[in-house]
Amino acid sequence: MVENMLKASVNPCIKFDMKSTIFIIPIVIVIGVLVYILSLIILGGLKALNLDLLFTSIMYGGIFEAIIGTFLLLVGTSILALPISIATAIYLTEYAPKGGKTVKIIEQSIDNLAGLPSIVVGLFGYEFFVKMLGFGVSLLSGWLTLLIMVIPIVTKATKEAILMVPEEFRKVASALGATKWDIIRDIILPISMPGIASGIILGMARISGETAAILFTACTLTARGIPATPLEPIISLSYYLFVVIFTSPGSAYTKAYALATILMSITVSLYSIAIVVRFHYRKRKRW
Amino acid sequence: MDAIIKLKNLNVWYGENHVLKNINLEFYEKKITAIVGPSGCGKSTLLKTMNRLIELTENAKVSGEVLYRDINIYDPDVNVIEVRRRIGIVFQKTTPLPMSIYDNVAYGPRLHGISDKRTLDEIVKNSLIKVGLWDEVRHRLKDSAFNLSLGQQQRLAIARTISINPEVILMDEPTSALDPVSSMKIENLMKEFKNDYTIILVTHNLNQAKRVSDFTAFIYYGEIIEYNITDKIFREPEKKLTMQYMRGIVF
Repeated sequence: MVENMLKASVNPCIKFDMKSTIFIIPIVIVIGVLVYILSLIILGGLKALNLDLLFTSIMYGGIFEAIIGTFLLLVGTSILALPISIATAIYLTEYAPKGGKTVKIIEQSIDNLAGLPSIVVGLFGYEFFVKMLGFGVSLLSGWLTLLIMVIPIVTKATKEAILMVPEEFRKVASALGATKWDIIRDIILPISMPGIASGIILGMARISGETAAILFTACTLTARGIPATPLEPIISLSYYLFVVIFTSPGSAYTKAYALATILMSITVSLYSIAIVVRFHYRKRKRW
Repeated sequence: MDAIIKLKNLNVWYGENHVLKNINLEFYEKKITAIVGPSGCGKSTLLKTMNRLIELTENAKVSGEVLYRDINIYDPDVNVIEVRRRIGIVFQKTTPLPMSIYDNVAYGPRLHGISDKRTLDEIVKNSLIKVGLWDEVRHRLKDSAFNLSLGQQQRLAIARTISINPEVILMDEPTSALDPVSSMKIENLMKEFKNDYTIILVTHNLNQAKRVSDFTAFIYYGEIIEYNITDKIFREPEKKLTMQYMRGIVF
């Protein structure tokens, strides 16, 4: 009797094993492809990468301007995105009539904005910022174009962080005589800060490798070095990678791998920081 | 005896739901008035109308008058922040603000324009002494208020309420989340506070009402059934319904 039961409980396990094998195959394929790509790029990159390359001007075969260009793009866009996104999120969660039409329209627009193909955003940036507003192909035009892609990400993250603030805090603070603005400033924003931070980092990760949006708005292959003002064009890592592959497919391959490795490590580390911030925030939460 | 708060023909609706029906009630200065009645009959709503906190509830509608020292607090030219400074509230759920113990108590005074460090220190110390929390927390004022026990959190909430010198303290079942010892401490505080504050206490604990209050109002599904001196209402209630509730026959 007992043996029969044991057998009965063993058999399904064997069947289940076969099923799970079927499910494992695609996972192995996905992970295998990822590992292959990473090792190909990193191995290729390591051969070319050295400090000299990082700190030598493009004119002398380095990639220094591209690193600075990407850095300037990320920092500038984030600084511009923060106040706009936070203000939008606060309006949506605190001031706009709840469930009203305005909120729905704004939220829908933000979602649509997030889904726009980057080349389309780039085309808009070229028409509007570069030509119409006359900023030319410049760092400034690049910031504003990337802003369109970053605002939805940061706004959404901020909104979610604000919505997680417990209602009780508002009740208690109001009872002490706090105005809506007092509550936003003293309670909601400080509590939401980690969520907002992980949002802005995710936004930076999203645009760090962006090429299409800055292709005609911010970048030219110049020999002018680092831009002195935001109205000058830049060279970014992704753009330079594009140029390297496009202009000399054969000879500059090692440089392309070096660029790809740097670009990838920037993106991966930004995502990792965002995950760590979020994890830390969840653990610390007490209410 | 002077009434500090008078409710006149007070009605409250949540959407279509008529939760408070024609309430007329007077609360006397420096007394403890208990409001008793079954759950969901409008006790907490009644409290919230008295410092306009009900306005945070989106679909709530209030008609009638709440007179505080003969001023209707719902008049358009009345400053709601001043109303809430003078009429404080302690909630059922102990809710420390997400800041340090010190900042929890100092938050109210800061909102009302006190920024001098020494004055704030003084207010924090005095408020914590009054609720008997000073000796327990004096060495960890910078700690998060969430590290306190529930009983301590509730006394902190009371300290936070008195930090801005209210005249009236509304208490919404302040002990229902607490253990008996912590509850006792809060009840003792109420008795001590009688000399300085008017207390309006919502409770569904009849023994608590009997122990601490001077007056008791019995509210049943949005209506005041009976209002009298606590001793009287418990010993010889005038209405049959009150008697039945006191004996646990109706809930």
